[in-house]
Amino acid sequence: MRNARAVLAVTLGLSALGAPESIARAKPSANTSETESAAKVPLPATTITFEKYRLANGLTVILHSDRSLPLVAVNVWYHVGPANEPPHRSGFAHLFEHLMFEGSKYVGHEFDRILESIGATNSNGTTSWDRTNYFETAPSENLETLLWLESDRMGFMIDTLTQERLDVQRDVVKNERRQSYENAPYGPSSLAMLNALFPEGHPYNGAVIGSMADLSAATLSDVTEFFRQYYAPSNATLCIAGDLDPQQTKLWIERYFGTLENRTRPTAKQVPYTPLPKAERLVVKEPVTLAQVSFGYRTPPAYTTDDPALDVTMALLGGGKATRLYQRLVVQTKLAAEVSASLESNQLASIASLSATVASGKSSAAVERELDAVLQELAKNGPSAAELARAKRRILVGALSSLEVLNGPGGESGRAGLLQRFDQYTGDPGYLPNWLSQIERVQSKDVQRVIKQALRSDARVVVVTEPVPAPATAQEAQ
Amino acid sequence: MKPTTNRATCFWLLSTLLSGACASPAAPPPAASPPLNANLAPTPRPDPEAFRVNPPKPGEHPAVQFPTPAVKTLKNGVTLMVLPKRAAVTTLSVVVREGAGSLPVGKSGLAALTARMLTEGTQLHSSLALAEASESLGSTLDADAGRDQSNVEISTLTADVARGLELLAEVVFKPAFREADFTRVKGEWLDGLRAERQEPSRLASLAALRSLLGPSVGAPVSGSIPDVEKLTVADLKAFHQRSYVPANLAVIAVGDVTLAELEPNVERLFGRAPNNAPVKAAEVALPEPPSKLRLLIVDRKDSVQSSIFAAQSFPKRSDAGFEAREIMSSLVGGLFTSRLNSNLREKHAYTYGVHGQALATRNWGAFYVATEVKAETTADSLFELLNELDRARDPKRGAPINEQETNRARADLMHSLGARLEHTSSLADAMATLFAEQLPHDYYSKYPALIGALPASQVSAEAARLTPSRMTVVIVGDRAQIEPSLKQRGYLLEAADPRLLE
Repeated sequence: MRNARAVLAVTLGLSALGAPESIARAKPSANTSETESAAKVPLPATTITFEKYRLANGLTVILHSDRSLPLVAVNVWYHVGPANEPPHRSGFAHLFEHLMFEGSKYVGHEFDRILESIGATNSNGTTSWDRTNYFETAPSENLETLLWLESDRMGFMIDTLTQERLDVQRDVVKNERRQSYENAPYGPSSLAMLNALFPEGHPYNGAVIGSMADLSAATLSDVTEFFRQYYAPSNATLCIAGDLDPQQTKLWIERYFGTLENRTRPTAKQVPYTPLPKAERLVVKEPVTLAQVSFGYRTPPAYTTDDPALDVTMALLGGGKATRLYQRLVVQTKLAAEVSASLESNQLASIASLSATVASGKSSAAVERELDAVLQELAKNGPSAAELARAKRRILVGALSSLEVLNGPGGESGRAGLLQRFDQYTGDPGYLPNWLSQIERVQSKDVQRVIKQALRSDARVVVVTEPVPAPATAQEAQ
Repeated sequence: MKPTTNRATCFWLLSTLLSGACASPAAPPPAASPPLNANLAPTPRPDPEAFRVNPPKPGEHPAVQFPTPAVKTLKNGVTLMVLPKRAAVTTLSVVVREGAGSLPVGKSGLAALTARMLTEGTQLHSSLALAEASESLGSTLDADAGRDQSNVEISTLTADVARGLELLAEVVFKPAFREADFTRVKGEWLDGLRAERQEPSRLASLAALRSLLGPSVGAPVSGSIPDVEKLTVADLKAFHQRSYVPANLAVIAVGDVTLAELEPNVERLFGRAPNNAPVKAAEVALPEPPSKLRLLIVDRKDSVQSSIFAAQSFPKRSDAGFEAREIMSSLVGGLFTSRLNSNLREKHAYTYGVHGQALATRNWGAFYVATEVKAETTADSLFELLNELDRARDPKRGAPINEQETNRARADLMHSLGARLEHTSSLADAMATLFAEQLPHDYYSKYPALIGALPASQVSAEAARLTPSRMTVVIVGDRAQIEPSLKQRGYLLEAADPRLLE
């Protein structure tokens, strides 16, 4: 992510602790449930109307018109991510994302100033394994300006890039790595987890943020080559959602994007999905007060057969107080201070993770055993009907809340984000209702099956974070 | 991928025929033809993309109207605020006009823990039964406190609104505060506080605000560890009894609902609570601001970054000039192109980001800047940070606040407000602020005009309140590594009192 403001604002301390449990749902998804209450309630529509077409130069366009508010969102996905990085260039796709804000030939270097002047909000870029996105929301009278800006950097970013600008952003990214991983509690543990999930040779190896050595090694010619190869219109999808006139918008798209050079679409990485070949257990020592235990699994790719059942499984395990991990580890045994369960769905392999922060005075070994016991029980007996219905309903309401906005945080949720997300992973921007019905069909036995197949104790990474003595000042404070 | 339509190709052909310019009505004339004497010297072909040099003109500005809520006060004093909006999900919230700002000395964390315990069991339902009830509606009951308000919220399908209101009324008026639940939640809460204090940036903000505002007012909303350890069920019951009273309380609904539809239910569920008078909290005196720059260090060995939090006193929420201070802090430290971010990140690459903001609560205000910088650059970063604030403060330093940056800040504030219209939950937050800060109900409707009319001179006047030479700065970092270069710059460190981190 290019912009740290949202992260920093959290430190101000005006509000109390957030909910004690959290679920990082990388994938908003939804369903209809079979509960009694659902039967009485007509469920709201989950279809996002859209039109998809392609320009002669290969750029894919997705338009969604909704004129209820005078706001418009632009969201551009380039189908390139760390999976495409050349050897010894980990972190490069994300470094490149930063450079996309550094200016372009005709617009100049005032990209952010222009965006702010026209009232653009939620403007940012993010990098995930298979894609890099750029997005902003603005008052709809400025749509043409947004297209002017996005097309200029799509076509001509490389023309104005200098060694000096590369060096500054390289250092900014190194600071991002320090802030988010090296100097952050459990940051080194999460890097250890990723490196074990995707060892050398896997396209996802090296974490999105990359290594310091690889970041140092990146050259201006690497940037030029990456731009030429992957930032072609044919390798990008432009989504515009909100208050727009489709006819006028198409004319503008043609004007600003239609003349960009037609370059061959690079072939996508094809690596067959395999689960982890064995179990691995890592102990990472960090200057923290509370130990942590995390389980990580390589699970099937986004939106393949077992993905919906895994989504439901994660919602059964975490994300609310009436979930398995919270009830068992925080409420009943009081072994954990915080638990989470998440599924991050990707093109080549998804990542399922369970995590528990060990409560003061409790042992990480006991937490590890309990996490296992919860999984085994769920695999053995399956969830109750009410439990299953709650998990599905939470997924549904989460998706409906996401549909309220045009661009959600990270450009992966909201209507534009969902259209892009489904297009990236299924080829159909309008896949949401289909996805919901798959979630709806998940049964207790599916949950049992995916735990037995995908969340196996002999094919996972366990990372235990152990506290090393904290600095004197902080210790005295306890 | 789906097949593409033919339409796009037709447009492309058309635009090719028009020699690079395209068929847009807004298109400028095609690029000039080569001069006739072009054969005298090789003349570069005109750039077919040259039209891109001209930024597009904005279209017609649609009127963005931030809605004014429908408001009704029930007989017992409860306020009902409803904002109709076309949405599949309705956000319901109960806001109480009391938060951590009204707590007595030694009771930090009480408002937040009281809010949390509302959802941990009522006289009718256990903690688990409540969680199951809210999650079967697809949502969680979220309870939280800020400085000036406490809040319980739930988002439901519009068809489930009646059930959502029942749950809210039950947790707000009939909490059980059972001893066993409290012991469990307190243990969990204390570990949450310990986890928070693992974050270097959090330690810096904790220590700076407490040093500046004193141990009680400056304590975090979530509480200090020793204070929370001593809290009892009796404390929670007392806070609940004096704060969660009808005159202090609003029910807020944003979604596909109207006041007329909701009123009977709200009257039945909230209108019968006894109309106890709210107890006014004792005013707490703030410490005298420091007379010189104070630099406190929290030694964190082997830190590759230093977390810096610099703070000073500032006007409180109700003091005149609040909106001008919003513009000022936005252009100094809020925008991506703010003075601080342009300097520390985009020019020097000392950091991934820096944020400056004016906090304004009912009882106090503060201006702060927070950043995490590469350890080797700590002294230089601190110098640039304070220097940038001083240049904003003093127009004679060569960088008076200008119209362009003021306009960017205005645009950002206005349109960030506009963006809140998208989300029922953001709108509910805005309504809660109206109620908690006792602002006029049309405050947000008039906000764009108010911001637009504020001259840069007023923004400069607010910047003149910055006192970089007398700020309280906390650095969490590796003291042995960073102290020599700080000393060279004349920055003398004193160890932070460990109690500031509690």
